[in-house]
Amino acid sequence: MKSRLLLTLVGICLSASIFAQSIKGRVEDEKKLPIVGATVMIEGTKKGTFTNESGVFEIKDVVTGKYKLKISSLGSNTSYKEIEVTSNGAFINIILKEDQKKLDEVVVVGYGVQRKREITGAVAQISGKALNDMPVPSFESALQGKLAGVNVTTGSGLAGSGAVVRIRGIASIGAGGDPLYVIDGIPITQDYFLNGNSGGMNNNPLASINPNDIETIDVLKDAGASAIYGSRGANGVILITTKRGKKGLNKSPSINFTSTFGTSQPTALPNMLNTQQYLQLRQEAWENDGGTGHVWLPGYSSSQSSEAARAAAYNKASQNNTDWVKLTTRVGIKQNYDLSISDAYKKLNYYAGVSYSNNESYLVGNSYNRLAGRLNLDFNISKKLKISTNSSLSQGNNYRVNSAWAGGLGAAMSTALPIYPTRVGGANGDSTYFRNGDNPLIAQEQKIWRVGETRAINNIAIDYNPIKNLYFRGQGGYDYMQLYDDQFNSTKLLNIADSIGGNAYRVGTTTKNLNYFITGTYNYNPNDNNKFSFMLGNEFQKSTASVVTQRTEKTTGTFYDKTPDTLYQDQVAPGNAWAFLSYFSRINYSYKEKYFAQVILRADWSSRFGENNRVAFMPAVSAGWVLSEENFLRNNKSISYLKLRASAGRSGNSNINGNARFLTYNTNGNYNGLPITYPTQAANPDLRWETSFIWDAGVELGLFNDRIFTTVDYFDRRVSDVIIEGLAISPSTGMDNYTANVGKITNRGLEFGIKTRNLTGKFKWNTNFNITKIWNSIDDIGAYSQDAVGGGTNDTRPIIGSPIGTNYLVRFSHIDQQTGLPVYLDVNGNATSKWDIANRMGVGSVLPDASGGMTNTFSYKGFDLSVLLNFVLGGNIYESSAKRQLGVVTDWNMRTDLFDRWQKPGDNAQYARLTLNEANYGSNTVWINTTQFLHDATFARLRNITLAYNLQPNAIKKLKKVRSVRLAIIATNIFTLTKYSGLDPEIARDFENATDRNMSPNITYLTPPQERTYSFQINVGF
Amino acid sequence: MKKINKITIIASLLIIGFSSCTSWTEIKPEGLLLEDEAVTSGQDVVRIVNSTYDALANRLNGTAQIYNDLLGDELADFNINGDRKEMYTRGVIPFNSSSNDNFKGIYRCIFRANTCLDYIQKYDNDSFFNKSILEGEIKFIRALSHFEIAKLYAHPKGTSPLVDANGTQLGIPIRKIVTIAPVLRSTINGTYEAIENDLLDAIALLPIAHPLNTVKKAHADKNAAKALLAKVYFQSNQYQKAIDVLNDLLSNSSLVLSDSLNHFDNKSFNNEYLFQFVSTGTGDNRASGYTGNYRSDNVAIPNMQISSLAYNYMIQDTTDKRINLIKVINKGKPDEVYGSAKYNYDYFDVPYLLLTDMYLMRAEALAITNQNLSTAASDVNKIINRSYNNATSKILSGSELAEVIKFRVREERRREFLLEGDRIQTFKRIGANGEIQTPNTMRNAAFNCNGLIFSYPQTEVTIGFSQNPLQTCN
Repeated sequence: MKSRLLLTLVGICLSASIFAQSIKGRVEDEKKLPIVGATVMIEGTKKGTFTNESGVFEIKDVVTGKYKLKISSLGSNTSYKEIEVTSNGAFINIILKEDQKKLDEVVVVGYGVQRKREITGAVAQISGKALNDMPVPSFESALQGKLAGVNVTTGSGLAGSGAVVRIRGIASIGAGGDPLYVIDGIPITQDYFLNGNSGGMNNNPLASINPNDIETIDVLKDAGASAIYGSRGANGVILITTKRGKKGLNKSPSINFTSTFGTSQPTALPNMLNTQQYLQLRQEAWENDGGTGHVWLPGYSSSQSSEAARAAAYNKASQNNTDWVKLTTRVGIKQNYDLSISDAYKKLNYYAGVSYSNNESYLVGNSYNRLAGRLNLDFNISKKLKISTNSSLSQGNNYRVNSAWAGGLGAAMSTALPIYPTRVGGANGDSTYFRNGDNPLIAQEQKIWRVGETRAINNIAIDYNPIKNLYFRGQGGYDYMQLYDDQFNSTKLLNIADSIGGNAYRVGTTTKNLNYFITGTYNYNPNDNNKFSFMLGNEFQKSTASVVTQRTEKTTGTFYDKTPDTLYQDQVAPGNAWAFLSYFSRINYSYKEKYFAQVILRADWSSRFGENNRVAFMPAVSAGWVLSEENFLRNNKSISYLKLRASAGRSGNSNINGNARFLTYNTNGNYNGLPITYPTQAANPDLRWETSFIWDAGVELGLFNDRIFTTVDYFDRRVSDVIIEGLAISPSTGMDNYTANVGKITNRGLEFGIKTRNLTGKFKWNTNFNITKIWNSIDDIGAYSQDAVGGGTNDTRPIIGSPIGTNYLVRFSHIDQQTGLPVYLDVNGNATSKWDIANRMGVGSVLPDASGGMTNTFSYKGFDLSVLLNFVLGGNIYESSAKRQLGVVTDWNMRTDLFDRWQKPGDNAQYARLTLNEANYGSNTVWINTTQFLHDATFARLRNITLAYNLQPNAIKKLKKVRSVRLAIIATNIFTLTKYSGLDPEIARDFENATDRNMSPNITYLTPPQERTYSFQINVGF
Repeated sequence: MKKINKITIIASLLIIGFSSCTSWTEIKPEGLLLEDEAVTSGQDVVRIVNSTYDALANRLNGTAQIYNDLLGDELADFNINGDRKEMYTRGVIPFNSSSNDNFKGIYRCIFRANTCLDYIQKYDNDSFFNKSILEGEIKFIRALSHFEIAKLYAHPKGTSPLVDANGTQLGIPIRKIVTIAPVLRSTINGTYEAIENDLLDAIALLPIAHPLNTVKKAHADKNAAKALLAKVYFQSNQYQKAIDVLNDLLSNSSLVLSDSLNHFDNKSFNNEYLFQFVSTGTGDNRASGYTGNYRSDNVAIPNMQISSLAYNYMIQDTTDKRINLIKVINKGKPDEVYGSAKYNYDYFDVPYLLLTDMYLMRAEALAITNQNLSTAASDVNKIINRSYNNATSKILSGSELAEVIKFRVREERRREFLLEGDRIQTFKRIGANGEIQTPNTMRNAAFNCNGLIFSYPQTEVTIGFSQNPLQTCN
């Protein structure tokens, strides 16, 4: 028995030495770079494998003989290679050429994927790699200028600030105008106002998303694509797919490490006056007004002070010359480290990543650090069953500082005068802070402010294929976000005795976002020409948020530093809660792989809708025709691809406060020790979603084997039931908020994108250009006045026939050369010296006429260079703070622009005669908003340059275990072409609410400029 | 097999189609209180009434009073910026967020009061509360709120041809029910009639002693309603009516003047208060408008300061002990400034209806109508006796002429209520009464200058609503 067993084992070993050969090889692209995930199959068999991160593959257990290998990869032409396997095995190097047509690339379309060829809606895709080519405050900023129809305005230079993303313009006023963000199937929490507007900044709910985790981003733009998201799809949908496990090298996992180190500086600095200049101009204003002697000075004297007092104050003030801009800014240091590992086995694929970044902005004390981890797993239980999990956990800490109107650099640009010292008193003159005027240094040094965010987005999905052509997917997700806004105010900030102690605040906001969906898809192919796909789905999502405000006194640190002994306030504020229940269906039909049609139906029930309007029904139809597959074009030498597509349907926007429909009460507080209860807002049982009827027609054209590939789309969106949130019903109602469906809006546009491969030899040059033109107008705002609807906190108003965000200002005409005083225009165009709000008119628009971007990439051997230029054409910037910096002389510092001012009769000056009295400017307020500060918003910006070197294979061979090395130098916001005289023409100021965000993006009010960064990056693959 | 497949497909689709329920979307936000939970009994209605006091206390914590002071001449032009500058220069535009917040804040009290009226009917049979008292308090709060708005948003009612003597000039929106619908401005007569009617109801409904006023006059009682009605009559130049109410009030009341010269001195019980907004501690300071702006003891220089004009007026008579309520900073130096010492407490109650005011009102009303001058002199003497070092030399005799009494009582009013929001309203009232004042302008503004009334919030201006004209007067 034993001998037979031994013989058998010997036989097996011998057999193995004869038959168990391997085919090994490497698959590369034309640039000699490895192709990851390429499929290598032995033709006519089921034997095959995938290439790993180094492009290497191995097919084991192959008997000797001749074979034909089939090598395919997304984005490349399929290749066939003959190979002979000897007793030593076989090795082959394969170069795959880039697929010219890319028709079979897979695009995520919501609850599934489709081949590009099949898509009948307007969908754009960008790889995660393209997002990580430059440091940005938040990943969405990196979309800027890269996709047609996707307009991105980076928030500001503040660390972690969010961008305003608009897909095909904006067609909402009070409802959120942002696209729906969906990560791995979960519509995530994306409320920009969870933490209100504090310190001149809104919390950015996307800041904690690690851009290194992103594999692809797909953007659904028209009803043919977005209607599958029903009443939430009208603003477009951004679908984010995170990375998954791929086969590693030589049975070892693929490891990738990236480190980036850089600096942050402002793109521009304000040109504020120094003490000598300030005193000179203020004195001039005083004398212009008929004053004699010394001018009175804020913080030192008053207009009623005697000349002796004014003179003493003047002399004292002139001894200081504080450069507050310098004191509140710096060169920030940025660093980012990202490590990932992935591998794929027969039963398990995994991707794991961890990253740490610490991004300082150029504002002293301001930084955002993030520690993030991800684990994505795929369990291939059987051929019919697969379970996938996505898990991410991140901790973001935003060390905040006051900015804009709240202080910091904003104060340096306004109320912190150069005549104010930083400190006064004491033997050395430095013992206490100066407090008779604004001193931003106090908060900068004495306030600790951290907004910490813990975010976990997790989901589990089950894919089951019980019978041929029938597929089910069930997915459950949980997006947990906990935000702690912690502030500590020291005794020196509060200006109280140390023995009393400081105070600390904590506002904790916890958002729990639960989601599941089930889809069933049946593919019915009666014959080779006719193919159907039926998908039916059900989804439920519920999000709850709770807000707890705590305050303690007599303390020495924040809540996270020191657990308070006593809470002086521990209050639960109403959170935001909402739920959506949806049923949806998508039916696709294709004929001969060249005619495609799609029908989408979706019904949404939502807690956000009033009791009289509980369900939104959103249907859409779309069709596509690949003309280049027709006989009359198939062999055309010029046209390699031509597709026409069109869609029409309804899509909705229900991005409204979940509480808006209720009559609500509050019981917070007490009076004279007695409990109180009070109503806070009126109910609106008729509240409903905004309905957009959208149609789109597009052409996709590839020429010369797709060396030139263009896409053109025309779209038309008509919105009814436009939501006005916080509708300004008469304040005398005593009610705070009222949200109602009021208006109508039309938003039309044309978008054009072109990709060209200009040079394809050793030296390669590709260009990617896109531009989008939008026509936008408000058609109706019901019976409400422009002021009742409002423009958020800025001087924009909804004006019938004009675009959303129309500047509503008194028109400035000129400076009278004889008097030096401003001349305005009344509503009839007649000159007047009186500034009267009755003369306000729609005079500009914060929306650009067109925007886009151009990316040029060059590569030669191991070098590649990428240059991104983005641009905005037309539209206006309103420099809202300029009226105080360049207007009536007040307690604000002014800008050197005022050197071009009227001083004597006959002067042809840009700015008026200086005065301390607003009445001289025909006004009873210093807040004189006129077109004098309305500027052309056109600009072009060199957004990004990345110069990289990829170590060549020969060099890499010398590095053990290393498969790739990439070194890059990255610069952002290098220079800007603009006529705008302010700081930075790319503006997204802090917003008070959705209306503000929709209506006033291009209005600046002491808004910190964008940052300019220089970085060095190294990427090593193992 | 095909049959099985069909069954599988159909069953699967049915599972997907009926796997959830629309009732899942019937959720409400955590912590959000809806009507069916918030108001379930009379006890809850009482809480809403409490909230009307709370909301009013948060406006009349000095904030609304300071807005009145900014229009007058008792504040120095120091540290007055932004929204306040518009008030100081009498040019409040419709977008002035401070005045708009005040407007909305006071109307919020009215909204709450009107909400209560609905519930009082609903819980008519609830044994928990006394319907009459609650309704009386609500009417009192509503009248007080409308009155405070009328002072700032409408020209005074009076007989001067410079205002509309027929009372058809524009008043304010009067809100008596809860509605989101716009309400246009009533005439000034209509405005004061509505206020009067509410207060007459309140007097009829309220008890002499509110059961909760065991220590402080935190809740409106019958005397508070009478005092407010007198103040309303007085301010609207209806002097005979004011006298009648004051006679009733002062003859039946057991109130006595406080010994303290400072109306805000209420660490201990202040027995001349008829109605007050109560602060219970530093964390519940219902005088923060005052302490944050006028306080002079914990800062090098007060945020807002007394004008040289007002200071010089006060020190004309050095025997006036009320001068001690002024803090002189940097005395004798070029940068000498003046702060008020009335508000130098961490927290305190804000009196709204004061016995001092009642005496001064009756004295002036009697002098203006030239009747019962001995009572008028006696009323003024009560204040004089308390306020001067050599009071006896200043006492008015019972035979003084009406003009003398009128002059004297107005002087005492000015001295008594320095930086308490009274000065500008007195100026406007007297002007509307057709009297020529000396000087006849206040900081260059005539009493009927449009700049002395605020613009309504622009969002109040719906179709048919008349906005106050913008006119600066400095």
